[in-house]
Amino acid sequence: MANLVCTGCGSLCDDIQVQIEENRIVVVDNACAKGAAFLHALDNPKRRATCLVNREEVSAEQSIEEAKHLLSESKRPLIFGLDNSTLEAQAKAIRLAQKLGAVIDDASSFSYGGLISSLLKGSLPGCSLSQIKDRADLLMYWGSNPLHSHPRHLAKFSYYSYTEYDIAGWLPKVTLSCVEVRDTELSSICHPVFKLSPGGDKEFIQCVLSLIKGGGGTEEARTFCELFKKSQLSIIFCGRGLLYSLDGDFSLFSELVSRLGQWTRACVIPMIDELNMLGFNKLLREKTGYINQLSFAGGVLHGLEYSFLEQLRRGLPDCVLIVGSDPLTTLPPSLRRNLAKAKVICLSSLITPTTKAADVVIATAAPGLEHSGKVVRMDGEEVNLVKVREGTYISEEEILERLLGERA
Amino acid sequence: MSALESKNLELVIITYHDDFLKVAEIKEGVGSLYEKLAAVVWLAPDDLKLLGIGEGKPVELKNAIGSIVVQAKSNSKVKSGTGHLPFSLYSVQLTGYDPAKSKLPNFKRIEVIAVPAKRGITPISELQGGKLA
Repeated sequence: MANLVCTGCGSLCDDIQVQIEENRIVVVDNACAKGAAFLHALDNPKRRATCLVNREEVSAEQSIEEAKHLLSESKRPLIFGLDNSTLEAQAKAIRLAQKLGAVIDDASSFSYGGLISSLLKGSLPGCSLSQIKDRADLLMYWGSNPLHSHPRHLAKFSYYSYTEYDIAGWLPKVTLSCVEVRDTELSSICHPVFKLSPGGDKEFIQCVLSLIKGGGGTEEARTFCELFKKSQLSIIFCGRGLLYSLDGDFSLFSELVSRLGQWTRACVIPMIDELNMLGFNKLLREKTGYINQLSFAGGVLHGLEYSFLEQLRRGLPDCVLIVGSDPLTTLPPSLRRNLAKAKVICLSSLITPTTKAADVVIATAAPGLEHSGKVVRMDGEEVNLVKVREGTYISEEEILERLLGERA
Repeated sequence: MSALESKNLELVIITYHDDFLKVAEIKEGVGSLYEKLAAVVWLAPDDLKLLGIGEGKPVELKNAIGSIVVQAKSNSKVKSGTGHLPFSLYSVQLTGYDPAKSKLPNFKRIEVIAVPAKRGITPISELQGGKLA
């Protein structure tokens, strides 16, 4: 059996065991259903992407040459994705964007960007997942249902990872709580549950802040404050439910966490779904000062107008290089139509709606299985991915090097 | 209120991450199993009655952005006036992006009108494939 870091979601579980026979995975141990499905899909020829130009199967070299040609012809290129790429591939993509004078952006610009920015600037306190076990006495999932988004999160990093946990029964010294708009599997094991109306997160935060500042507050706000008053170390796991409810503006939430800090050490961890979104944001910030929404057309330009969504809304890019992402399953219809007006090059290891619609598809090796590299987990910890088998696919890093003209 | 009007229902759709759907997508791609799991909206039993449709029958969800037909199922834990729909190619058909109104697309909270459907479930093939996917 070989050890493997699972790249099926942002948890990056590092205790996966795989048995490989004749270069195929025959046994997967410890992985969740999503992780196991992902690993087995990589051995399924019906699921693996193939190199295509205009939907005709071609060699990898031909698809890369066509991609190079399209990018060289482009007047307004855009590079998008990279949240499932290694740091090494991300670095190459940033260099390619610089060379092309392209816009570069990732999905954080319409998801976790605001939260990640606050964490990287230090205006929100973060902590490592390894600091939680046996130390944190309050675990609060806010707008997140990890049993679906990160199936092993509770078992590996939080509630069920505690040393004293025993399936025969235990008296927990940790409180598991959640803030949710609907009943979920998680809410059924949490106590207390703060049930909000859809989009009611801002109002709830305002209510708690009012109470903390000496004003009136609801019973729920009082219960919320009591939890933090009793705690020594509190972790708030922020999910998409919170960030979309706040429309990406974390100023009020930051104030709340800061105020809670008078009673407890309150830390925030974003429940990032992608395996290396945080890595991309950190890397781009180190190189340019910004985490996303960037243009290299005439220096370093930053702003909402350089977000993937805004670029598509305005119909600006004439060639879009998508790396390890499937925006056609997530984009609103009007933006999908505008994306279809551009030439689309897609680097992917699996067949997706985006590969089905792309002008050029370059099939890639899967990080962590077929090539090595580094990624940054949701808590900021760097994780090494070590390849466990040889493959015939080319890594994103090498493809991007070739597109840069740095490799024959 | 006329009988016809009583069958139009304003709903706030809450989307959510469904691991079973994700596993289906990874295993089989965006195909028939994906359609079966994604094209389902969970409604309060009273809302299903208001719509005048039975368990498992098709319901059309529409707004200014688009329209989909999905299977309606009742769940007593769903609050009246809301519907729970897995985040998928179906839910994004109703998702808009207007930066003048909000910074982020309304992926999670979507206002729609629900009406009894006159056609079958929107086939997944209509939502993907080809250059205009």
